[in-house]
Amino acid sequence: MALLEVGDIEVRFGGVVALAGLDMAVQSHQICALIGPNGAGKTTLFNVVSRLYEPTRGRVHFDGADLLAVRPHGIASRGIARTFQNLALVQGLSVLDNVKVGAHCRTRGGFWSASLVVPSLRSERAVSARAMEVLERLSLAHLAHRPCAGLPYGTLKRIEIARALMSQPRLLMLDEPASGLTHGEVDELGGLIRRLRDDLDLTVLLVEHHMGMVMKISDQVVVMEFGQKIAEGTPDAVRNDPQVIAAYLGASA
Amino acid sequence: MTDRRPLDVLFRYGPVALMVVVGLVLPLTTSDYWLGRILLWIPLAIAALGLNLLTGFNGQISVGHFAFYGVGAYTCGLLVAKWDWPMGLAVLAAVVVCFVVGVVVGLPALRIKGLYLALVTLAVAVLFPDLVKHFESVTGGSSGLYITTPEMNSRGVVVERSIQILAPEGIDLSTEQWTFYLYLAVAIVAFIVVRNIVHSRVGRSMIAIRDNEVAAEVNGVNVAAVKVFTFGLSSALAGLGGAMFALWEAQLFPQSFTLGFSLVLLVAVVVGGPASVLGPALGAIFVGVFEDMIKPELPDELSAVTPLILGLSLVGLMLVAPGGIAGMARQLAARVQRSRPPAGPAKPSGDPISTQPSTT
Repeated sequence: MALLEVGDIEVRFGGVVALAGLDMAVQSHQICALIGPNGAGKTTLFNVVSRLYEPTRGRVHFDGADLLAVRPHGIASRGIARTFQNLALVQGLSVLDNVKVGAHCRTRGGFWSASLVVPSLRSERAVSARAMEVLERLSLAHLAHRPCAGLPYGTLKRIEIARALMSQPRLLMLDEPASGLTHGEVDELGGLIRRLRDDLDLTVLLVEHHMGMVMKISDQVVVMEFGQKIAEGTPDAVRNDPQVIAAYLGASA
Repeated sequence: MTDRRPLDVLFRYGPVALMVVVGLVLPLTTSDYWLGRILLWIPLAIAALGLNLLTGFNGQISVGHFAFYGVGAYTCGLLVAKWDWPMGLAVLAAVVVCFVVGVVVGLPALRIKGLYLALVTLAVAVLFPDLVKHFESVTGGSSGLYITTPEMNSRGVVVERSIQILAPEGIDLSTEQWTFYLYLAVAIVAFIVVRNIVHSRVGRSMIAIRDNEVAAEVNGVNVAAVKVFTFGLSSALAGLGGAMFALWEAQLFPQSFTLGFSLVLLVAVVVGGPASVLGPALGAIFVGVFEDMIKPELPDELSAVTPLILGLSLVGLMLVAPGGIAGMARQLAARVQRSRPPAGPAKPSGDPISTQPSTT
């Protein structure tokens, strides 16, 4: 069954049409890659699903429920987590605290319990322990107490994934996770994404320009251009689609 | 997980311990005259603590926070003077009123940010003294509000006497000494509460909003609710300070809550170290020392330019220590730590607190 279903979505910014009636579905437990030239509307789709953009038309369903009725800060607790193309980490916090921010929707505790310490201390320990587990999984544990500022780009990208995992998502949306990484790091990342999918029973939606990784790890590839879907299928099917070759991969691919 | 070596503990708890010890010894060694002035640094520190929560940790700039201090002072003063409320209850009421006022002012803050928000709070600061003057029949206007209680004198005549926070029977302390200890206790509680909040889930979401609102929202933080609540809490702390100010001074004038004082409060936050829990206390001491000890000593010709002197010293300090006094201490601690050889094999570098730039 489709976990995420997007139907006839249109997003306009003034005269610019970023998404022009996009239809797509992401099947449960799959790794689905979204590819297409810059400006095709991939990140716009992410922002629609995150409820950061209000679509002018269309519907978004997650696990059968209407996502457009959910407020932006309620998305995480529905089981959708994401990373950002241009990193959105909290520079002033340590790596551990950044990752703990991701657990916000899975924990309770407001001003009152926070100011009185005692009740919050236990849940705070539990969150720290879980954050350390996630950091361990992504081989970041040794950096836990370092401030984020000053760490290498590839590391910051992994910290963002760690933070996303803290909300115990069912759908993980990764916006260009491989950009700016070295060859070795990209290979590692591909393996990591598959492992996370298998170990944590995730569904992954991926925007990526790194074709090597996309073709290697994806179960399904959706190709976009000008805010619309122009092709969809297994990596092999998409690779040989003449329309895709013309629009994106280039004649020599 | 981390090894607690003596030096780490010293850096972490040393400043707090020092301030508490000085706070405990000061009343026993200082004249009542000076104590009466110095104890007003405590309400200032609490107000700065509130402003720092808003500006330092949540990234919302308020340049009019002394208006909330004023609202707290007048609320407490009026309740005691006109309705004979007990002091403790009046202080609580002032805190609640300021929380509500803060929430109301904080609501537009959801739509505007940065300098534009600063302008709104500037308007609040400018408006407040005029409002006090306008409602003269209640507040006493420019001629002041005298917080008095009726009392029978020795000849059996009822007279109005300024309120005083008297030490209970059996405790041999002057009014100044008793009030100082009482205020110090309130301040310690306030600082502990803020410290706990800052290190909690709520505190993390406040800092996350400051640094990246979108990321905070995507991670499930209700940005609007946290921002408005922080505004309310920050204002409530300023109101607590104001109420304490009112009870000590026993007379309130609108010109005690003008824009200039709001800016001084902002100076206290910046000098002490924004986004540091202890910073506002250090900043309040800095401002207090300047206003009460240095300024009166300056020759008369210079008295007109004291704001300039304060401003220049602020600029100078910012060049040397952009993180304020607390930031400077943190850097020093980090340097000392780096210069030490590691304690054992494969121990990752020490204390999480002193290496975190913004949550000490």
